[in-house]
Amino acid sequence: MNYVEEKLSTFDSFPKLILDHQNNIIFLNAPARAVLDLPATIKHGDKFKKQLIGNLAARDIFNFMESAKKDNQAYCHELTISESTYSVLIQPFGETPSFKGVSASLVDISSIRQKETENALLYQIASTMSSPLPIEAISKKLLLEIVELMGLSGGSIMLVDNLHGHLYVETATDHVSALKILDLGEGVAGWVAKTGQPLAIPHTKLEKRYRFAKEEIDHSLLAVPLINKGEILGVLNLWKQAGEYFSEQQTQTFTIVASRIADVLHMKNLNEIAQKRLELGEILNSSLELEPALSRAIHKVSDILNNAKCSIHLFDQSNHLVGFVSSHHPIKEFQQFEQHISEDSLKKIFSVKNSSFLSLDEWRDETWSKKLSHHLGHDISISGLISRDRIFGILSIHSPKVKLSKEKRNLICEISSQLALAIENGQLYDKSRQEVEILDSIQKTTDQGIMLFDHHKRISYINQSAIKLLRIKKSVVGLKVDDFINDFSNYSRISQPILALAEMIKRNQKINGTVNCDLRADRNMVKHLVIDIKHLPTTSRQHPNILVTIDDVTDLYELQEKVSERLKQITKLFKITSLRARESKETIARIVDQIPDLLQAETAMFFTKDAESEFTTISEGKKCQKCRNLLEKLNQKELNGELPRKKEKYLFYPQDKISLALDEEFLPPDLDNFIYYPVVIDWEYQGSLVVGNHNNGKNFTQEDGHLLAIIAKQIAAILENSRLLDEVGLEKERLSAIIRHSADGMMIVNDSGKIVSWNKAMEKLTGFHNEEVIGEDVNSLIRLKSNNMPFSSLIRKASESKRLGNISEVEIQTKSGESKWLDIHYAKGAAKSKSGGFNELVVLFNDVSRYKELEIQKNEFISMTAHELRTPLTAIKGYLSMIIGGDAGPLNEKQEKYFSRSYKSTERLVSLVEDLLNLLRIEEKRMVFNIQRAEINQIAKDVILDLTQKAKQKDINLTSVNLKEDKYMVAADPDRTKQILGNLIDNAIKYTPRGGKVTVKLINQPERKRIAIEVKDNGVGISSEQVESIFNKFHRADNPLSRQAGGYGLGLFITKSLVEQQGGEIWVKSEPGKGSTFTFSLPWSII
Amino acid sequence: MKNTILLVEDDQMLAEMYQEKLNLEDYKVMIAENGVEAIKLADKQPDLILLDIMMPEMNGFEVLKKVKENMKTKNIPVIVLTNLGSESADKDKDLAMSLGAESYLVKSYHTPDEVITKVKSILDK
Repeated sequence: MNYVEEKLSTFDSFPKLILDHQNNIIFLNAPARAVLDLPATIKHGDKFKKQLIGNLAARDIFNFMESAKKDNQAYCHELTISESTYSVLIQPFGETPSFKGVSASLVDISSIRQKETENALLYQIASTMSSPLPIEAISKKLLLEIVELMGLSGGSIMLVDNLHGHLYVETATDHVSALKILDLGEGVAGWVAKTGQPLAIPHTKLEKRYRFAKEEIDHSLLAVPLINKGEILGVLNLWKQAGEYFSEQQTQTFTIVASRIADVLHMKNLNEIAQKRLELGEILNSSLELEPALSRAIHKVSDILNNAKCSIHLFDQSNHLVGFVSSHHPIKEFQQFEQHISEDSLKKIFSVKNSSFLSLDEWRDETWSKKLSHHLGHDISISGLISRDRIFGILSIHSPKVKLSKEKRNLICEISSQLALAIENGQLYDKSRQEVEILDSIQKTTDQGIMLFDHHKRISYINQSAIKLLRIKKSVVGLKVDDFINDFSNYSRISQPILALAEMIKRNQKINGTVNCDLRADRNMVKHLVIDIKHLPTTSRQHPNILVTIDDVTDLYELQEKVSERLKQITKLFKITSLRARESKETIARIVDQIPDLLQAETAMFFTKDAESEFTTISEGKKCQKCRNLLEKLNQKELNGELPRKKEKYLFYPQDKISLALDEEFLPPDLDNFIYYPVVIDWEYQGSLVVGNHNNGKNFTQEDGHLLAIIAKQIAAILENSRLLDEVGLEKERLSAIIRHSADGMMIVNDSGKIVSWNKAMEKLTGFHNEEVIGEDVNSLIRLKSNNMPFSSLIRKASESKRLGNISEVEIQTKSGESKWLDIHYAKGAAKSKSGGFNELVVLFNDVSRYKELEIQKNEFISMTAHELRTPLTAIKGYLSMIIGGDAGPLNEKQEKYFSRSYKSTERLVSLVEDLLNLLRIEEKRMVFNIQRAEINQIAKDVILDLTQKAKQKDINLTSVNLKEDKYMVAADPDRTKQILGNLIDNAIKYTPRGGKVTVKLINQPERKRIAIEVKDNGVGISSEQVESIFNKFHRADNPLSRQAGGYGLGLFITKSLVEQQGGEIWVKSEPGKGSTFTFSLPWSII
Repeated sequence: MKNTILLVEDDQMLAEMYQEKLNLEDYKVMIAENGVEAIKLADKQPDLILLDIMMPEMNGFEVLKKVKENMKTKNIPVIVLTNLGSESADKDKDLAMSLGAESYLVKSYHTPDEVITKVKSILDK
């Protein structure tokens, strides 16, 4: 609380209570609480009751207040409360009963009670105040009475002008003196108004301070502030003859008097404000548009606030300034407002301060206030125009020099809400009016007919389009539906839609309905209208509640009819083109039969050549001898090449009369028009199609020509197919003879595995007869003996990759249970089935049982021989080793040499037998692989170690490149892999001359997920022709070292088999004379 | 103490050869010429059995099965010594190993010396 406020509050220390029309407390100060002894809990806004007054002596005050309100008259009473005497002033305010409040203010007059004059003065004041005179008159009357009663020489009442922030003389007994007082220095009255303290002059201190020259004032002066509820309303000045001074006692008395006067002024002010607010309400509720209404309202607001400069800024929802009105010439700072404030920031500020009223001066330390006051100055107060949480704008009040009292602030807030509400309503009104305007313009310009009916089923609106569509003759607005129905011919030229519409309205159908009307507008014109009726959700009985829309859909309707006609024709065409008969001629005849119906023709005819190349009619849709003659003539012209070739091929009569170049005599007299269409296959004329009309009124159109062309093409296709079928039939007979008598078994299986064809040889092979197999499942006929999968799967798997192929040596079981070995050849049919497979599979069977039997015998013989050889070889090898080992006593040098050679040969013999046995295992697929995760590095190391001795003996440098680096794991049988690598290294040593070099290297192939093992030598090499066959059975490279190296050549074949059966690959690169590189690869271990 | 080896071998020549070699190495040798005899002699608890497969009357697999089924003989290590099959992954070898053979040797691959080495290594375990 600053100094000024503190002072003000002391002058507000008289007990005071103000109630509104419902007896709610508007104002209650601490002294009043004390005097009346009110409960501490009671607060502003609470309902006031007599019972609340604790001090019984004071209860009469409430009675006084009630009667003052009732009589609309001020009263002044004296009451003794708690041994003090109070002067009680009761004063009503407000013009209307709904705005009727009352105030009670008490002044302790115990100390001045004895002074009759002062008491009389106070009484006088009370009675003056209750007079209905205007405030100026009351002020004047009061002043005169005070001066007279107190024996003064003059006085004045000055009031604060809020607009300019200075005082003006409201009334004075002597205007010259009054103005002098005002003009002294900054003005005695000004000082009093600013400080709120009474001042008696001459006063030494003030004299000094304001350099008042004694001689300038020929009176002694007392200036007392007029304060009401903290607001300084003005100053009461009183003066005496020079030489007389105002005593301390008098100062106190006049302070009381001044407070009474302030009360009066305040009450009068309240009344005036109430009146002005009513006027403001009228302005805002007037039917003016928003801006003009606000512009008038702001002047009224300024008037209410003692002519303060006021302005309103309006914002839209995006915080853009959309309107600005001001009571006076706009202060330029106001106009910069929009750049520095937005609804959001205002909201934030208002919510932080918990108020919609802000005085920049009070918040001058805050950032937002600094920012605003930088543009607006400190003398501005702003109040938010807020309704339902939305800020529509702000009301700014410029009040320099004078502080706004709390009451004024409340008033401003109330006005702001009033303005906000009005703005909100105004905007809504503007918006809805805009919508109405838009709607109106739509209704005026649309092709759609629009009618509105009200609750009484009266036509309340009809637009131009509706008038046009319904052929309304005269105004129907305001007409009742019943009247409309009863006398419709008076209003409209048409009946059907109006009656239908009216009937619907009349029946008050709640459902939204649609009526389709055919409206015979003219004799040759039918209009189609769609009438739609909607019930509108209105509450007011004045508003229309039925909306009728009328659409002209004639164009749509016609289009639809055309489309459906065309659809019918296309359906017929489709039926015609899908006609089939056993014979092609019959098919064509049936087609031609249907043409008259399709094209609404009276006759249709197809003319073609027969087997003897003589042209005859093969079909005639409807008999017409004349047309027939015509057609024969045209046919002749066609064959002679006399008819022109147009792009569309067909010729119209009579349009193409000149092209047709027909002699009049050929034209049937009753033939109106016809279409001629030549049927041509591969540039060869096959015949012609004609449709004709006599006199049924129908003229053929281009579309008919197109349809005929489609049919003609269909006929051409039938003719062509029939010719092809004849050819195919012959070919088929030839083929079936071959198949029937073929020595090989032959069958055809369809997509679902069913037998389609089965020849004689198949019967012999399987024991199943033709009659019992057709349509049967192939798996029940071709029964595989050894393989796990059924035949169909086997063959499908094979044919997935190759269209043509063979599977050799498949063992099957015949009907009688006999076993047979077959070689199978298959060929897939070209036509693909829906499922993506092939429709048919042709399968040939060769009986190879005899060869197989021989092979088995041979293999058994070799196997037995090899095994039999093993035993004696074991004995030879064993004893030789024992001899060499010295088991039979020491050997001499020669003996040892000879036995060692024998032993080596025996070992070779053992390995040859082994090769033979391996070969058999491979051929009979008996070899077992123990595939596991194996480290290839280790395998290679082992093999190299085993063969190092052998390489050394031949002075060959056997090395590895990278075995000690990355370890690679493969999925392979370690023993077989050793065998493979051993074979390759052994070969390399064998075919490399003394002093040569053999290198083993591992190569990772991440892209193929394999490890390759490379064995490279710089030996004799292999020629390019031999490279291709080197892995074949019984091959041996033909080179100078071959004989010397020896061997059956089974090694590489076995090696290759071992590699491939482990999922690996093997290949060789070589250059004769420079060396060979054998490489095999094995898959990565993924375990 | 001398280890006793039961040599099951129908070929007389080979039987003599292995016997001679085993004797040289100080083993006591019992010889069975067929499977039936082999079962009988196995009852005498040899320290190791060298077992041929292709034999008259009862083949080596059956002998192996019986020996391993008998509580008395099942702990005797058996080396299959045959000219059947192969030492690489092979169905005969797999069968023998699955029946409980300690090792599978193809006779023609190995000298008697090598067979003794194998016998020693197994007996040393």
